[in-house]
Amino acid sequence: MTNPSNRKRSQIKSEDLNLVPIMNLVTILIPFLLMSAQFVHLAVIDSSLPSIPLPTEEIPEPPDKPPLMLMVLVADEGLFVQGGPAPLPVMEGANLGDDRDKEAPTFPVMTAEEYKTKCENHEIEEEFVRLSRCFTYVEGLCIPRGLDSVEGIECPDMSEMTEYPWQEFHSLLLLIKEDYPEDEFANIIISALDHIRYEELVNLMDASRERLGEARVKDEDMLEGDEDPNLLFPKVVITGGGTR
Amino acid sequence: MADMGKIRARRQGLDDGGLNITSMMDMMTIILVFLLKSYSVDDVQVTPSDDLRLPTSSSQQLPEVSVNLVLSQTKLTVNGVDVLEFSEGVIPDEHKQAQRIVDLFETLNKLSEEAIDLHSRGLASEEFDGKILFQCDRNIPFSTVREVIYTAGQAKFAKFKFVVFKLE
Repeated sequence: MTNPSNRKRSQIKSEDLNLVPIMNLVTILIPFLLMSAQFVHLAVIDSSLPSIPLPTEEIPEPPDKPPLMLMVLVADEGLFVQGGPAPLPVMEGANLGDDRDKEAPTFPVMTAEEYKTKCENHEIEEEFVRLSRCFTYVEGLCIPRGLDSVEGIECPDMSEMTEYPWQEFHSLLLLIKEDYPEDEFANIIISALDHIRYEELVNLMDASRERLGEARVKDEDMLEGDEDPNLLFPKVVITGGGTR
Repeated sequence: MADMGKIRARRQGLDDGGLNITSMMDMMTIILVFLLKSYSVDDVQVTPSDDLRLPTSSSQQLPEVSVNLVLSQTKLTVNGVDVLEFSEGVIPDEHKQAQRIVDLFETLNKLSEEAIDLHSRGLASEEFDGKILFQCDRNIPFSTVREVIYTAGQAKFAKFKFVVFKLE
C-alpha cells in the first residue's frame, strides 16, 4: 500500500518556463545591437601624393633598362596610357607603338550599343562588367543597370552613353607586368579630365590593382610565403591635372 | 474570492488570459542572431544620404582610424564638423586660392600641427603619419577631388585612404 501523501509528491508538476526575464534581456540587447549593426562593409584604397626624393651626394648608376613610369589619363574619348621613358608592349587593338596616332587614345571608349553586344555574347568577363556604367550580369544574363535594384545605379540615356574598355586596359597591364617584372611595386600615376566622375577613377584603380577574371592566380596555386602573385599595380598616385 | 473566480474559470475551460510569449521569443532569437552577425566595431562610420553615395570596389583592405574627410555633393566635413557648403559638387572660386581650398586648409593644418606638437612634447605616442580617410561621393568631378587632395597635401596629409563600399 502506497501512502497517499507519497503518491501526491511523486506526481510531476508541469509548469511553463518563465520567459519574461529572457524577453527583457533580449529587448534591451536588440536596440544596442541595432545601433552597432553594419549592413554595408567598407574598405579603403591606398593612394599617396607624388613624392620628390631628397637630393643625395651620390650619383645613382643609370639603370640598364629605362624605368617604368606608368601613367593613365581618363578622358571622354578613352584611356591614354604611357610608360614614361619605358616603351610599352604592343598589343592588338591598342593604339601603341612607334606608328601610333598620338592624338588618339590608347583605348577608345565603346558606345553603349557596342558594349551591349559584347556583354550579351559574354566577351566581357563578369569582373569587368561590374565596372560598366550601364550594364550588369544577373544570373549570367547581361541586363541594363537600374533593372536590378541591388546596385541601384541609374543609367542615363543609353544612346549617349559610352563605356571604358577596362578589360582591354587590364590585358595591357598584364603584358606590361610581364615585360617589367622587376618593377614589382611600380606606381601607377592616374589623372583625369576635370569633369570625369570620381567613380571612374575608382574603376581604374580596381582594373589595375590586381589580376582579375581568368588571369587571376587561384588560391590553391599560390606558393606559401611568396608575394601575392595577383598584385599588378597596387600603388596609386593621383596627379594634379589632365593634359594629353 | 479571487482564487474561487480562477477555479471557476478553469472549470469552465476558460484561460486565465496570460500572454503566450514563446512565438515572440522565437522571433526575438532570430533577430538577435542576425544582429549579432551584423555587429561591427569599425571605427569608420558612414552616414548614408542622397548626396553621399560611395563607389563600390573590389578592394579588401580594412579602414583604420584617421582624420575623416567627407566630400559630398553639398558639403565638406572634417571629423564630423562642417567646413564648407556648396552645390553640385563644385567648390566656388571665392573659397579657393588657386587650387587650395582656404577653409579646408586651415582646418587640416590645425589638426596636423596639433598632432605634431603633441608628439614632440611626448603627449602622443604615435608620430603624425599624414593619413587621411577620404569619403567621396561617386559623382563628384575630378577637378574637386584634385583640389581637395592638393589642399590636404599642403596641410601635410599625403597618405590617402579612399573609402569605398566593399564588394561582397
